[in-house]
This record gives sequence, structure tokens and C-alpha cells, in this order.
Amino acid sequence: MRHEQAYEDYVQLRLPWLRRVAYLLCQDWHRADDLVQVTITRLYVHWRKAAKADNLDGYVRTMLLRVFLGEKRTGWGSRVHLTAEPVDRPAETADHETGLEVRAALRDLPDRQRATLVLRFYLDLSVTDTAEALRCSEGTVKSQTARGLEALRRNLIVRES
Amino acid sequence: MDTRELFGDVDGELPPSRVDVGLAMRDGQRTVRRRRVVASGTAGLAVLAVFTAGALITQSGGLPSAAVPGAGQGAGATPGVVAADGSMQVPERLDPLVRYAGWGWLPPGLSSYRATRSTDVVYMLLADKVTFRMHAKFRKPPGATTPAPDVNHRTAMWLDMGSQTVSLYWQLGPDAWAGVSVDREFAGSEAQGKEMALRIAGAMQFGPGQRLDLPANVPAAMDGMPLREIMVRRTPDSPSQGSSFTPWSVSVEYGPSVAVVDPPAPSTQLIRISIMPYLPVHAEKANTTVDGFRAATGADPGASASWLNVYDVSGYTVAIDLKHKPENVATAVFRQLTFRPYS
Repeated sequence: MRHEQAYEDYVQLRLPWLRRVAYLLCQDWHRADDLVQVTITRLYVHWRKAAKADNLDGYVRTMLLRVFLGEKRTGWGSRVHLTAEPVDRPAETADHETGLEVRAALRDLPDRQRATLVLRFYLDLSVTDTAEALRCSEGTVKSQTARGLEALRRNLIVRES
Repeated sequence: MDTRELFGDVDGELPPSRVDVGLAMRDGQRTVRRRRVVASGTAGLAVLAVFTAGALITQSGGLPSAAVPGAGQGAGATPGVVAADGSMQVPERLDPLVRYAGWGWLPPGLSSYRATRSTDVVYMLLADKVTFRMHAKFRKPPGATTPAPDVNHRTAMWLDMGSQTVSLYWQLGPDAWAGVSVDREFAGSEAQGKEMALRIAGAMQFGPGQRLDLPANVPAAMDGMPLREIMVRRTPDSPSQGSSFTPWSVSVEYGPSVAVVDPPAPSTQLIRISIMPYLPVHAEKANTTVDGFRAATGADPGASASWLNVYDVSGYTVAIDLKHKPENVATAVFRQLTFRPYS
């Protein structure tokens, strides 16, 4: 069935990217995989519409964001079983410690601020596109970005001290 | 701090993925199917769903009462798995229309139920926390095992099915196995999960097979294809579930025999009949009539699929899905069914 094949091809191709974005949003690989699982299930349900989108990646990215933010609203995370054991970690890199520091500082941010930073600086979305993805005004994106960066700097200073 | 380098180190090697694309497709298929039925055939049918509808479980012991109205009425005894001498004799090909086993003891707090019966395996799931499986003869469960305490003096083993589930299998008879799986988190710990699995398994009741009591007659074959699977779901009422909530449904599938957990191959011919209580919202987008009943019909040529929903038939909504079959087969299938009135 060509629709299913197209769906499967797309998901397999973009799975690493989806997992990375999900991880940046939630800062936990277990939850990231749960977020992706829910997202690609919804994507399957809406595949016909999604496949016609001008920007399929953007469509899926927005879905993932909705799942992440919706999870926080509904307490979904508390109802989804997560494995107890940590997954195998990737090999350490030269700046591993710095990465962990930044990651920990990111984790301390409120969800919407973190999501704003991920959209703006990892996915390189414009203010306009970020506002659309988060369903808020451009002014809110700008203020969330400024506050998020300020909080990030503050968190990093606290961790270094 | 260079803001754009904040996330740079996440682009390295990824940890092993737990994302299951096949599961997403199967779950998505169920959702598509459910939405289409509720919305009266407005959405495209990609693939026939894996299951629907239900049965009510009694937790006081004994076989579960039938999931559907009129439970227990007219359900005659058929060959089960217990021979006259008390030994277990599991057939090589199970009859999806027969209930071979029932719960004897269950932990509290499990209300939703679904069961899938095929020629290869019987699945009975409670709130996705407790699962019973009975395999046809010669279908030994795969995987690494460790010895477990006997279940009613029968050889048993723990099956390694990952960290989230405790799975116990025991030998019903020669080359015949049954299993009980318990969600470890639901049980509280692995040790509690094992204790719970042993208690459930020890209390399972096998006996003379009971014919399933269904809301419609179910022929053994349809349009030249054998009955391969029956799925029953029951979900307890909840105020949050809205006006389109259907508390139970029964689905019957005709087609080549395949493992129940696998999605059908794309080119497989299938007929699925789903029956659920009729709700007015089902018929809002009726676009035709069949034998005087309001109905909705549609097709998805890209998926070689078509469907016919017929509304308020003796109190039921009847959804017939076809894959790789001429559209007019659906009406012929509907006319072969007779329904027991639902009240």
C-alpha cells in the first residue's frame, strides 16, 4: 500500500531527527522515545493530510511540540510507563562535560521557554515560525527567548559556582 | 555563550531507540478505524484495524460473561481443551468462535477488556496490564527462559520479554502452552509481578469450550474466505468519554490465517465486520440506504479498500470493511448476517 510505504519510509528516515528534537524538548531519552512514539502514531492517523503539507518536517515538528506541551498539560507523562533502566549512552565526546552542564541548565528551564529555545536555536526557526508552532504571538516568542537565555545563563553560572 | 552551539552535542551518536514504528502503525490503524466508524465513514480506510470491541469480565471467578447483550444465552458446549480423563488436549488449529479458558482470579482495578481469538492464539487482555495467551498446539513461545514454579503440577518457565513485563508460560499438554503476562509497574515490582502471574495462572479455568455469544450469527466462511479472527472490546463507561463513546464492540475478520499480532500484508484480501451499539452520531453522514437502513459507503482506491456502515440495525451499527474485494461484496456480506435485537 503506497500510503503506508510512504509513511514508513518517511518515519524511518526522520526518526533520528525526531528523537533528537524530542530529547531536547524533554531532556530525557526515555520520555523522548515515548513522545516520538505518540507523535508518529498521530502522524499515521493524519498521514494523508500531512503528506500534502508544503513542509512535512514542519508539520511533524509541530505535532511533536503539541505532544510535548500537551503531555505537560494533561499529566500524560505520569500515565505512561517508562523503563526503569537507563538506556545506553552515546560515546563520550571531548566536550561532554560542557554538554552536560548546558543540558542540565536547559532542563531547569520552564517547558515553554525550553521549547522556544529549541525551536529558535536548534531548529533555526524564525520568530514568526516559532510563534506559529507555539500558537503564541511573535512578541511572546521574543520575550520567552530573552527570558530563556537569561535563565540559561543564570543556571550555568549557578552550576559553575 | 554562542547560543547556536547550545545544542551541538546532541547531534552525536544516538542511544538505542525504543520507538516502534510497527506499533505506531497498528495503533494508528485502530484510531483511523474507530474515527471512521464514529464519523460515519468520512475518513479513508488505510488498513483494517487490529481489534475493536469487548466483553465484560467478572472478577469473582469462573468464565467471563459474554461481552455483549444476551450473554450466556444460547452458548452451547463445544470441544474444549480438557479431555474426559482430565488431560489437556489443545488442538493444532483453534476455533475463534470458542472460549477455551476463563479467569479464575484477577487483581482488582482492571476494568477494560479485550480479547482476540484466532486459529493460532487466544489473547485476553485486561487494561493492557494483564494478558493471557493460549497457543495452538506446536506453537511454543520463543525466547530465553528460566525455570518457574510449576502451575497446577505442570511445567512452567519465566519468559524474558523485556524489563516492563513479567511473563509466565506453562505447559497445558503435549506441545501446548499458555502464558500470563503482568505489567511489572502495575504489580509493583518484579517479585510481586511473578507472584501475581503465578496466582492468575494457577486459577485459570479450562474446560468444555463455550461458543461465544455474539450479537449476530457469524458464518464460518464469508465470500470464500475462512473466519480467522474475532476481537472483542469492552471499556467501562466514563463521563469524560463523550456522546460518541461505544462501550463495547465485536469485530470478526475473514481472510488468510496470519499471526494475530502482525498487520495484514498489503495485498491480502480481507473482510471485517464490526458491530457496536448504535448511536445517533454514527448516522449523521449517511449517504445511502441498504435494505431500508440508513448507511454510509465509501472507497479508498489507493488502498484497494472500501467500506459500508449500516446504522440502527436491531440497535447496532454494523461496519463492513473490505480490502482487495469488489465494493458490492459489502452489501452481500451484510445480507448474510442476522442480528439479535439489542436493548
